[in-house]
Amino acid sequence: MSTVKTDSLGNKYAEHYDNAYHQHNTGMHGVWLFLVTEVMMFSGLFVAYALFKGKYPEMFVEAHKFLDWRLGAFNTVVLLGSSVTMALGIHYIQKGKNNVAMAHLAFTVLCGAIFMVVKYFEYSHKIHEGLTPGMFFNFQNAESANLALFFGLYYCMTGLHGFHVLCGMGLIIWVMFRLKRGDFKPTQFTAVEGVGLFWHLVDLIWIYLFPILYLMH
Amino acid sequence: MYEIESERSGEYHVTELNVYLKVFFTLLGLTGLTIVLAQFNFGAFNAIIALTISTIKGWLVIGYFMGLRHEEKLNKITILSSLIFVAIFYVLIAMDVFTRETFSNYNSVQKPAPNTQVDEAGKTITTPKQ
Repeated sequence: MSTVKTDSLGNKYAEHYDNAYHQHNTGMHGVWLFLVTEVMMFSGLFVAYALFKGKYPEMFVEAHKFLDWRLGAFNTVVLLGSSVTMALGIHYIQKGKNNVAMAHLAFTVLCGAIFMVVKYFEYSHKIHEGLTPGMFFNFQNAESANLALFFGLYYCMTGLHGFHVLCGMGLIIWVMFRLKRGDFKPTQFTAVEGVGLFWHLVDLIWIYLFPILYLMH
Repeated sequence: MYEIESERSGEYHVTELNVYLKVFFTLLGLTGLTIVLAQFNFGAFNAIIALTISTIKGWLVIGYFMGLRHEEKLNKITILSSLIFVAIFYVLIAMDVFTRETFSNYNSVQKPAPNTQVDEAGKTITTPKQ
């Protein structure tokens, strides 16, 4: 266990760092590296999507008619809004206004919850119609024989993304507890910024998922 | 801000509120644009248009919300390297998947018998079986 040092502003940092700023930057680099692995994980699904769309373009045109772009657009606005409040949460911690920051973080979690509720209604509607993935596909009036392939991709991509939204909500609630405990101040907010980067990545992935699943034909 | 010189290695960048709001409304506008353009059929350009707008939105999110503009060079290189990985991932697999039809007669080409060789002049030499 390394010794914890404290600088003149009361920032704590481990002894093998030059100062608290050095420790913050090292932590941020770790988060960026983690985001690279996240991009790689999602790119597997995006590459699968691109290859199958290239092979069966007509099937994808038929499939996108089963998705309601209005719900997708609503969710896009919700996530973009949550991203800006997340960024503002960090902004207000940097300015020392912890209560305002807390409200912004709470609004971010609320947006995540709204996103998941809309997703729940979309999923349940499709499952009711028999538009289920792979071998569970039970929709009778499909023109394309391999329509189930699209829904396999749809559930994997939006499901993995939805899982990330849930994880992000949990992480934001965790930093809210730490904010209430007084862990953060204008010169010490590494955890909030790391969680913020994760949340923006979730938003970023949805920015791509929305047009390719709901709009493109 | 710091009183001791050794702690003054860098200051945290604070992005102002109006910058965040400008970026947010630009993102909303671009989302609207994607939806409007998706109502028309541009043929092969549908995907290019949608992905170009998404990429502009992505840059705004990475640059302003994630603050990559003010990050250290090492972090910029790190996150941008993921694009190279994705490009390799897609291009190599696409080269296989989308060119298979081109070589569909590959299997019908008669393979030379195991006891034949091609000499320097291009002539086929059949060595007698042992």
